[in-house]
Amino acid sequence: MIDYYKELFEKNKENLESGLQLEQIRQQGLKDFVRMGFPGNKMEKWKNFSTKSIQKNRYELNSIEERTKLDFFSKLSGLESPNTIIFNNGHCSYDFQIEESKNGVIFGSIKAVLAKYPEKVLKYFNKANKQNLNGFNAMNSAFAQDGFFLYVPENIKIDFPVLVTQNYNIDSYQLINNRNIIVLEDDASCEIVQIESSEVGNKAFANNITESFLGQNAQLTINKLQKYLGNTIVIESSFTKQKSGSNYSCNIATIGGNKLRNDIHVKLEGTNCFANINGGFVLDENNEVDNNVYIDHATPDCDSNQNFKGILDGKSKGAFTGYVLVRQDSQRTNAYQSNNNIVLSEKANISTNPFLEIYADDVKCSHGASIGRLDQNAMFYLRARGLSEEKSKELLLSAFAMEVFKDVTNTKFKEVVSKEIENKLLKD
Amino acid sequence: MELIKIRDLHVNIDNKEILKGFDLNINRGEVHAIMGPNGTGKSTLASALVGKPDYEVTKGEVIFKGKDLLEMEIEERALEGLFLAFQYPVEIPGVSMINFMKTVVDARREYRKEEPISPVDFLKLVKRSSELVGISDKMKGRAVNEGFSGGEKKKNEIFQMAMLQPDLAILDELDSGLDIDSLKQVAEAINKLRNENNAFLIITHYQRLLDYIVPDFVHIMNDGKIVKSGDKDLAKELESKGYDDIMGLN
Repeated sequence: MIDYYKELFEKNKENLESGLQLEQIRQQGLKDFVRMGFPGNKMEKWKNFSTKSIQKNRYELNSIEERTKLDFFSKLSGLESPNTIIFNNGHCSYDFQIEESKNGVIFGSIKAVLAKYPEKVLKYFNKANKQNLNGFNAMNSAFAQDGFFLYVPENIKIDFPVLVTQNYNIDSYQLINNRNIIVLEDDASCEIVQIESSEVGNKAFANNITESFLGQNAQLTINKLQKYLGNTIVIESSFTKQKSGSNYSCNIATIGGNKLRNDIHVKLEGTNCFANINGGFVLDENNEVDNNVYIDHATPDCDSNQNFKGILDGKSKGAFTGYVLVRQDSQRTNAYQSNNNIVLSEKANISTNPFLEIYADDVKCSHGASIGRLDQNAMFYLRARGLSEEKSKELLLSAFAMEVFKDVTNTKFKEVVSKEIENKLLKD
Repeated sequence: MELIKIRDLHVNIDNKEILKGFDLNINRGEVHAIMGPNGTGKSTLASALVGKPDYEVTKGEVIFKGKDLLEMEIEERALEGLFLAFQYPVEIPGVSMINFMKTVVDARREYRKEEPISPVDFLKLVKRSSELVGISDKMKGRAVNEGFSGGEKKKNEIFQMAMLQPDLAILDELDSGLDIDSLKQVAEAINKLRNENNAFLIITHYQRLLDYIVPDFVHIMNDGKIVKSGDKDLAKELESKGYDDIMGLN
């Protein structure tokens, strides 16, 4: 199968390159992919995510660019933003390609920005995903087609949350490799709302990378809703580098998903940084979601927090793995990790794995995990006030999952997520 | 007018019989108090009436507003107008008091085939009820019972009662956890909510509460049933003579 992708690469080389100056990165990506191949279940980091269903198909490269699907907006109820970019099957809608504002903000399709300002993009491309950590990351480096690029200059605060939507709907086996890059210069700040979805009939496999660079005292918030229907397979990897005093907050709501993996890598490279990574996932039927968070405390005086909560019904399978690495000189580190789950059926399965690797001695680290069932006393209390069993269950579970988003200030995002969770729970 | 009729009620917990033939009639407009030593089944009665799981009714019948109460689901009993002020209110993290109350009020209106309450009317109802019981705005914004003191939890139960205006309210050991000033305030609220259409069943260990909420009837319970009934003076007699003496009279 590796040979198939070598051929696919050769066949599409011209097409992929088209003057984008990524040739070296692509060649290295292909080389690393050929060397590493697909990760197998015997690898510790991949034991909860089988890649067999990806390996058995011959994915084609998709090149159909579409116009904005307006009906998509109706699903967003209040999240519309003047800064919006829409992707269909990995391609930026040709209605909107690039936007530059007077204060120096650049926002648009990475392909369009690369063509216009190659130096702006190449300065960052693959600089956070330097080593092509695994076969999928390498595959993305080789085949990356489009994605979004956001550049926020020093001292600039973007007032409205930037909205990025991605929808997959292809009824044949196609490969999508998006590469997103977010750059916040010193003291810049912005919030990005990402809505990722797929339709029931989708067969495409998406293997995306987001690289983020936070300058000193920069503040980046990512609020993400993932709602993948059908047999969609998605691997979302993010690599974030933080300079001193910066603040990164990433909140991911996952509503189902046939086969989804989130890999979140954060490297704290300057002192007094804060990384706050939260996730809530609601799974049923045969859903499979694997969340992995890697936080590298490379400097002293930084804080990190991971809080993930899962609700699992049906035959669903969930996993959370949280890695914290505190390097030898990273004194006065505070790192917290928590993963609580409610399992509603006998056949659902959750795997929770904390890994703390600590080489400094003046460190506060904690981790906690739990797997439980619905609180029957609380159920009785709600029903004794007149709420139906179904409504009481939904109220308790929704509150349980929404707790991870308690610090999210975007109330519209929270409303949308809360509604999605409610719908998912009531469907069962 | 008869509100509830309990006949020969037998209730088991873990196959152990706790209620052993309990009888009681309550009419609209009446306040009944049930007293008795610990472990005689007072709280079991309250739990069995509202339908708590694991409380197995083995014999007897309960007719509430002309309907068979024991056939109803937990929520149906509540929607029909039965309310329990819990001895130990449950903390529900993440569910705000206000959203919870709105959901509950609307569930009741839906049951009665009424439109959902308007935001203005809802806020008026909240204001009136919270002023009556003396709970702060802060408490209303917090999650249900989360981090509330023992006294706040009890006040919150009466706040909910004021919001829902049940036909029959069972107050299970309301005075535990309340200081004397709060007790007076809560009792005063209950007295204001008393009318000819509703009724109260007060379960208490001590006579203290009955100084402030004067009952029409007092029943003494022992070993799973009522052993003596009387008017408010029975409670006073009990206070001076003690349970052993009173029950020895039987």
